[in-house]
Amino acid sequence: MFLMVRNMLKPTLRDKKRYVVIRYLCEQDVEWDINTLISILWKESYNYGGYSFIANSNLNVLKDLYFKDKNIFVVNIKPEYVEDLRFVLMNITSIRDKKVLMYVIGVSGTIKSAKKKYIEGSED
Amino acid sequence: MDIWVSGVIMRWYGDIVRFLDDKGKELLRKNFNVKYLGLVVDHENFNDKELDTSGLDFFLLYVEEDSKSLSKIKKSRKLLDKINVDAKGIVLFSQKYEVLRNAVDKHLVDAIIDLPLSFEMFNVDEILIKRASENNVSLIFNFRNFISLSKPLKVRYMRNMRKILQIACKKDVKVLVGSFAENFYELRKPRDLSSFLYVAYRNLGFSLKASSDNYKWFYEFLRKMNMRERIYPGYYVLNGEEHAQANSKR
Repeated sequence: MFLMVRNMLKPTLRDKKRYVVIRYLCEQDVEWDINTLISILWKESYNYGGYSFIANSNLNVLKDLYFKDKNIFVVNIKPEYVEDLRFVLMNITSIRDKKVLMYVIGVSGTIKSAKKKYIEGSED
Repeated sequence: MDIWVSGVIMRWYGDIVRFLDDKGKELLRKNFNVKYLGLVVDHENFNDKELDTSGLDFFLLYVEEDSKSLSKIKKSRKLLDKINVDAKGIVLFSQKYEVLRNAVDKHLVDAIIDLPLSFEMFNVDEILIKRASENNVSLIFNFRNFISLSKPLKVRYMRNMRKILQIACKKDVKVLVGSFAENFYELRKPRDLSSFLYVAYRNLGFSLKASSDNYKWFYEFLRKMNMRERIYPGYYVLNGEEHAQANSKR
């Protein structure tokens, strides 16, 4: 019997990543579902650069790293597109008719250092 | 957070806003590490008694001028004297080329705002930007205004902005970006604002410099202007000893 084995790419062939830690502040104390945040981010990045931007930048929201109490979530993206992501976030002004302010707390190369630097030390 | 670009630390961040409350100030100073904070006010809504200037580094008066006599600019110079801030200046928006050129040539303004919108009326002009660099007039981009535009206008704005930044980089004109926020939720992190320039011009070093060093330069420049040490090209200000030496030689 033929077994399907999924091999991982070699480290040199894998795409490089940056983990961008983002905080949002809302008009009222509303705890957004992660899926609403993902849909808003995709909609705004589609407005900015279309499908090609989303595909080329490897934009991906990490669902496991969503901290509701601190209003923080983490996105991974290619290093060349970090500035574009900052611009996309700046253009988000409201979610469901409520004013929102989104900003980048920091950018990191690994999840471990992102947690240590920007999430554990940040205020509620 | 310090950022290194070609061996230079970028840490002097600044922002220009349209409002000042305690919540906003705290966010800007603590979380966003803003070193220089400026307030912009319309010269028509100007009321020096209601104005709170605490925790402010510089003050700007916004003038929309379309008449060739430049009467509004001359009037607003007098209004500035009522304000007790170290550094203060005038920001001009005009859609007429003659007005902009006249004000820049005579050095009546300190900065021009939203030049891409003005360039909808006429073509991008190299001479105006060259004269701005000679007379120390800086360019300011208003992010709040950009967001409020429709999609086709945004495209035009970015197209003109790219051309302006290309010339500004060549002629060494100082460029600033401000959030111009009217409430707390319109505030933006200065480091994020620099990406607005990056997206338009694709030059990270230039965009970071514009959001850091240029604010320091602008603050120093406005402060000097208030001390009446207005420096024109070809002239320089003498200090007390140099004055005495020059007089003794005569």
